[in-house]
Amino acid sequence: MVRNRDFWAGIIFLAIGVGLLVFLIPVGIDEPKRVKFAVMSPSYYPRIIAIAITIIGLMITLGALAEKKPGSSFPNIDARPIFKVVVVFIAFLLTAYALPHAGFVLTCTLALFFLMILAGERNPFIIAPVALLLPICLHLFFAKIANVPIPGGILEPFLQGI
Amino acid sequence: MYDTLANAIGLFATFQNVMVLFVGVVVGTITGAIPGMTTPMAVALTLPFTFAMQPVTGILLLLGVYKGGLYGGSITAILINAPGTPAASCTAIDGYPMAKRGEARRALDMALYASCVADFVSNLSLILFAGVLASFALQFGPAEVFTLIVFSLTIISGVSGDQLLKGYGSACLGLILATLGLDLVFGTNRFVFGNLNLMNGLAFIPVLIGLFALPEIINFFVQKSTPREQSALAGMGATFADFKNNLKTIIRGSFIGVVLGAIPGIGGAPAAFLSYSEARRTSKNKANFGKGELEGVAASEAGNNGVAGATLIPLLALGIPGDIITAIILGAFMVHGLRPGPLMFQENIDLIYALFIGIMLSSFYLLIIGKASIRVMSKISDIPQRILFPVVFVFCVFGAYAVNNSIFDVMVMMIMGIVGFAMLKLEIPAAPFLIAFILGPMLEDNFRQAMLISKGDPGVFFSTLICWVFWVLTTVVVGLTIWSYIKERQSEMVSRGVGNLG
Repeated sequence: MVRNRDFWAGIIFLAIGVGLLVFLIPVGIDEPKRVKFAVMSPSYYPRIIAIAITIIGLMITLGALAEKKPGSSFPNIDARPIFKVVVVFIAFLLTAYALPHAGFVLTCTLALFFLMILAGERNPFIIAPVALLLPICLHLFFAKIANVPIPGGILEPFLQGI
Repeated sequence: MYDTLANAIGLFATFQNVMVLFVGVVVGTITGAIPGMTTPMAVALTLPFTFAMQPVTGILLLLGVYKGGLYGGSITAILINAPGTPAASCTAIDGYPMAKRGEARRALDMALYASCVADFVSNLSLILFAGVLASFALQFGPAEVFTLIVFSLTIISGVSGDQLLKGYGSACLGLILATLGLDLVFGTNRFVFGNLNLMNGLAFIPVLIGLFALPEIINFFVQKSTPREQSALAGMGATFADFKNNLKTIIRGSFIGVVLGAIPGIGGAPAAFLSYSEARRTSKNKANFGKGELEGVAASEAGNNGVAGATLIPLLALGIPGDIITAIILGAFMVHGLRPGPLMFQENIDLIYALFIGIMLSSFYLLIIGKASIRVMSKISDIPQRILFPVVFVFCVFGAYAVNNSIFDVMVMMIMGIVGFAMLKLEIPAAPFLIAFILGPMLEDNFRQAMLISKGDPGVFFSTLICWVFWVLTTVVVGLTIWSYIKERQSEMVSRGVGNLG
């Protein structure tokens, strides 16, 4: 299992290194027209790091292949928790997407409800106060004391009145 | 001399000064403990309150917030793995595993003791050696800082554990991520791809929170049934024996913090990492570092807080602010018509001495306030995880946003959380990524500045004694690491061979 992880980690490093050298650095770094010394180029340092990532990726992959027992295969990462991972990722990304539209208080209240229930909490006398009060308290602290303009979203008129 | 001291005591010893300093340390500790509320933010928010105060009172308030904030950052790092500052992320490496074992109070206690001792040593250094340290700090040009950062990066081997190659790969990913944004020399885009939010690069705090706190939360939802391992020391605080055993590490870390803090632009993070690295190198429990070693917490907090007094050395002695916080404090001096620098030691020596007295008192306040808060704070880790983790997630969301008032930063945090989770699953250590991400910009900037000054001649990195000292230290540490790695592999192969024969 450990070597399996090494193999995939090596492949990922290798892919990132090659991706940087072949695509991301040539396309993503704007070179100035005149550079006096090669080392001053904006792409010099990233290129060195990309080469290092590629070499490290290659070493890890080859190391994992050398340790592989005959007859065993690599691509068997445990797929059972993938569904749960996807649900949590979607919840996180939905939260980030909803923040500017629905506001922090409403979004975080809904996120707290969902995540606490997903985590196994069933007591409504814990879920309700935590989910309702925590985002309001945090909003008041950041907005009123720390002067951070927290987006209120659709609850803005209500929150301004507090 | 005695007249000056008497005048300084007269200037300091007012009820208002003593109280304001106390309030400052309380405010700093609380704000430092809130993810997203950074110490510079807390100092900046306090600044307007100082306008109506006497100069000594106002500056003491800011210094109190600063010192409280440095310690406060370690609280969330230990309890919920969400470091409030880049330097506190080093504390999280060992502090959070201790909290997971139920030893949160012990870790918090040690962080407090290390912070107070380091703060005291740093203040004493400021008072006694300001002139000497300021002139030493001025010898650090880009080449010297570059070699210092290279040496600091040797800690990557230490925090990679038995995954050395993956640790180096992880560090390279951190270095490449740190290059995002505008190129500092030419002002051209690097990996911006037309996104204006990326022009300033990625902010530290969202990346830190995403990489440390979120993977733990995701992992909890994926493997809900993981029981908490409880150590025999669960719920207990640090003992005097613990403190005595770690005193050498704390003192060493304090002096590392003092020396690095005196150099403008270095800050607490390299000091914390270097102190941690030295502690690990000389420790008997080397293998336990990164898995919840008390000495690791002591070392990183000592390094982090050792800079507190020392950052004031270039400010007071030369009028040069070494970081954002001292720049704000410089602003406070100027608002009150004072100009820090050599002349201030002649014209306003009473005020300087009054500040020194206040600074010494702040270490004592930190101990009292920290001790009082730990009893309450350590209970946080007793909250059931099914409630704690969703709550931490909401704290992270607010915290990531508050750094730059940017939803983009929240998005960055979420994505880094997903990246961190993938790293966790593939057993790629996250600490090297983080260290490289924090030190990366300093490494590249100083490398390019040095090359610009030397007109492309790499000999600049071997031109002074300081450079040579750091090269020799780096070579020795790297050599020892490779040697011990080869030895471990050899003994692993021998034991496997014996196993196969059996």
